[in-house]
Amino acid sequence: MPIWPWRRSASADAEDAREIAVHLDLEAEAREEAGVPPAAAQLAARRKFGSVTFATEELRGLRAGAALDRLWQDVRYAFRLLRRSPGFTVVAVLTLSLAVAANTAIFSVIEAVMFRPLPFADAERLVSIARVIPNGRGLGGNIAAVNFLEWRRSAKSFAALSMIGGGEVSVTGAGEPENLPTGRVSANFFSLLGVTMQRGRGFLQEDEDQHATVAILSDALWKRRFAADETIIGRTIGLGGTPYTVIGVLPPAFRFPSINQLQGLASLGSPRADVWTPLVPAPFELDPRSPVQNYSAIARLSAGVGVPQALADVNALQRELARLTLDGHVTELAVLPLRHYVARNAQAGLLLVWATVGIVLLISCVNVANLLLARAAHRRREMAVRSALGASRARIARQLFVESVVVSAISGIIGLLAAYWLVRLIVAIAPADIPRLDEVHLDWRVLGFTLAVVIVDSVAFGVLPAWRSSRANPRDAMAADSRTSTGGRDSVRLRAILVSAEVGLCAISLLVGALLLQSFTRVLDVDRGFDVDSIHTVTIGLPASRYPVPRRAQFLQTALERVQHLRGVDSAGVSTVLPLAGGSPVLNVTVSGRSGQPPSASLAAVDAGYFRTLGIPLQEGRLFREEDRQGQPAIVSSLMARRLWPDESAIGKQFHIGPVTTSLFRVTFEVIGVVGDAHADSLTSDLAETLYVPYWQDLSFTQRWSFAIKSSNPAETVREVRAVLRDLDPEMPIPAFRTMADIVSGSVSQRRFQMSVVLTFAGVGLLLASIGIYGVVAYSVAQRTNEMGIRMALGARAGAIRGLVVRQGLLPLVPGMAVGMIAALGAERFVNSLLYGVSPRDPMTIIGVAALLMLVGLLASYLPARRATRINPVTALRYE
Amino acid sequence: MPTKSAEKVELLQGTLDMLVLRALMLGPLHGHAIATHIERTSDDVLRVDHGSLYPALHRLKKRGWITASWERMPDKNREAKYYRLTAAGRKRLASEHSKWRRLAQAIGRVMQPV
Repeated sequence: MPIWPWRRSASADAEDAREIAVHLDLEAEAREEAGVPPAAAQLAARRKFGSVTFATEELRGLRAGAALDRLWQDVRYAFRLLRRSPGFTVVAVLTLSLAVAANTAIFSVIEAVMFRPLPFADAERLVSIARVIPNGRGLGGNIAAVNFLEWRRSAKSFAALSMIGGGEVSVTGAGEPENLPTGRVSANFFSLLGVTMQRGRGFLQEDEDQHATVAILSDALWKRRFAADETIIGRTIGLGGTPYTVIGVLPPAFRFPSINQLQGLASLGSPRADVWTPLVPAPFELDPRSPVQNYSAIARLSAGVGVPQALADVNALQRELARLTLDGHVTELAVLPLRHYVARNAQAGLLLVWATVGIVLLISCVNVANLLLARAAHRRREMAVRSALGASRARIARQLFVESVVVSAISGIIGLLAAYWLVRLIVAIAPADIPRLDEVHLDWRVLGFTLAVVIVDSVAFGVLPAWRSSRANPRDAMAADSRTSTGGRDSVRLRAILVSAEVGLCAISLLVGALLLQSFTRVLDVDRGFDVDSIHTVTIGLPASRYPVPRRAQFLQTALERVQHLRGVDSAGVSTVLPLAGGSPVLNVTVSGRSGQPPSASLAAVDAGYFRTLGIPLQEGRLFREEDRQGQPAIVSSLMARRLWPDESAIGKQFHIGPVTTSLFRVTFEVIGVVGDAHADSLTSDLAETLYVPYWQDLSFTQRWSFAIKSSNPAETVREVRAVLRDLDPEMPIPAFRTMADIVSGSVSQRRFQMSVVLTFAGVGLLLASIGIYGVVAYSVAQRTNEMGIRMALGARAGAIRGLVVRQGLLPLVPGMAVGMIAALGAERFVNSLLYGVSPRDPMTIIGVAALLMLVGLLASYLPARRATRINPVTALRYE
Repeated sequence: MPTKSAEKVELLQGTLDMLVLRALMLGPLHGHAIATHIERTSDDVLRVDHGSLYPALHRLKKRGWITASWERMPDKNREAKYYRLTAAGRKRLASEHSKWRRLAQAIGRVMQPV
């Protein structure tokens, strides 16, 4: 068999044509010889022959090995038919390409975020070790250095373990100073990942042991800031004010997940680290009783070791470690593949979005199936003729199926092209705390997915109409074509079932969308506990090397005084943590004479202006004052005051942070004030006990300081504050200012993203479903023109006719909605984790969605209903 | 073509093949000549649907009963596709013919019982 059967068949076609032409000529000549004029003779010859097309097609069908050939023929025939009914083609192709584009785009995001292996050798053996936060509150990304060192010493399950710390560091040398995301890692980090430097070397154990000031740069930073300088290795750059020697440059393909993501601080943004330095824990972090949990841990499983074994291994070690601490508290651990760990927060939302676009795909398939059924009804006569002429059932079914495949293939191609743009749009609007977004692109896996969608597509909407049409008995079909008969009823019923299914699918996504919308508004309505209006913030780094404690306090004090005196500034304050930013250290708080598990509290260092600027109300006592520098004053949040001193005033009470015996934390604090609760991590998480100490206190847990400034003239203030900071320290990088409103909005960006995507596609689904309803009702009105005419002639009023049609349109909605709502309730548990302040069974939402669907159904069936009443009885009866 | 008989008879399913083979007993013929031969020898009673002739020729060729080749037409400056009976075709014609004879006799007996 030739490789290109249609080529061969093209020449065979030509031969057939030639043979037939000779035949026609001979016939015409014979007639001319009998005295018929030439033109008439030719016409007669043709008539005698019958359809030339039919004969050639039949010959083509007969040719040996013609299966592929016939397929090609079907495809061409399908194209011809589609061109002939552009209305159908455009609607079907648009609908399907939209669905394919949406599914392809969302899948490519999901694939990159959740499924694609991390770009490291044997990446599936990489795991993350995280803390389990008690009471089902998820995983804590931070672990204590001392725990890590014990695992590294004793855990048998791992080939290698590495500790990771993140943060920002100001980079100086070669251009303007700037703050860049940094990674501080154990010396074996890069060898654990199996990464070799494109230039220079990786870290060595000696670097870690000798506290060497060496740094490795990302390829991007090397190219951007150092113009791909060939002599970069051995150069000195300033990191946080300390000179470091560059020893290596990472390869361009190196992509380690954002360290903020690892540590659960995604709200701080999730940039990938640009500068890597060896991680050397501070001495106090090596005390088993240290309350500081600053690091993340990753590990490579030993050969033959699974996650459960590794988990048992580290948890056994944790129980031993607990004996060394005073309270005997065991921190339970979780071990999970690094890829899953990184994706954990985005997972549920993305799956929901995926489900929504999947629903759109189903609806569009149902819609196209519906269109095909309507068309099939129009084409019954064509099918009947073909079948009467001897086309087999299988042949007709195949023909119809090929039409579906062609429609779906065209849509696949258009959808794929559209997806290419849609992916960019989604990545642009997606919240920054979805990990690995920069890895999103269309690759072979996505193409495979799209192909699968197209195939499933064509089966889904093609098989039913193909089967039905081929089943038709030619005699019935010919008879049923008359509009006076009720032969179309069967098909109307089937189409009503399809509409029902559409409405059901629609109900699911609308309900979920409405619940997300409600959650979103409720989150924004949460009593935040702080003000937002006209507050600008800026976060700077004050590295300990250049700003030892007294100098840091001096700097902050001077800066605050100058900023407070700027024109337009109402108030200004400084803090180590801003609301909703998360990332404040959590410490144990103990009160002398009390036993048991000490409560924990988030710690922030602030000045008095911070409370005033953010409008956090003072409930009792007073704020910090200058003369407090002599003592150890503390301000506690209302929640913490109630927790520690439930029945009495907190003012004047004393407490310690950290285990009392650790000398570094042997500070006795005295409560001087109680302030209102402000949401620290996110608007939806429970309020946390918060402890505020004055900014001049020596607690070197952070280098990040944020100014909050309330101003009536923001633009000018931002400029002036920048000038003040630059004036105080020209070396200091000053990042962009953010308003508190931005921070609040950023903290709900995942919710906004989920909500807007789900609502958008629910809307698309609703539109498609309404087209479906309209189509069915309009078709049945057209079929019953005659009946309507008779009814009107017999005196039926227009209202009654309208009612009849509308009722028929709305009927399939009810079972569809019911099933859809029940299905949505079935997914309750899954959806619930994404909701806030609204139950998935919220009756008002369910009623609202049902009402919306009914309204849309009403509109979609009213238009054809109105047309039905305009039927002129006389015309209708003659309508044959 | 003048019609001698008002009553034309549609060919029975399957008989066209036999008539074509029979026509080719005379020697190689092209499609038009086959159709004309059948119509003429039946005194124009049998009507050959010219359009369905070629698929029939195709079937016969595929079964190896006839062969085809483009040849120059005598007296004319053009080529036509000529069909020839093969040995297998002759055998087939013989068996078809005897089958037909038996069928025709049987039908005749039914229609005109003695």
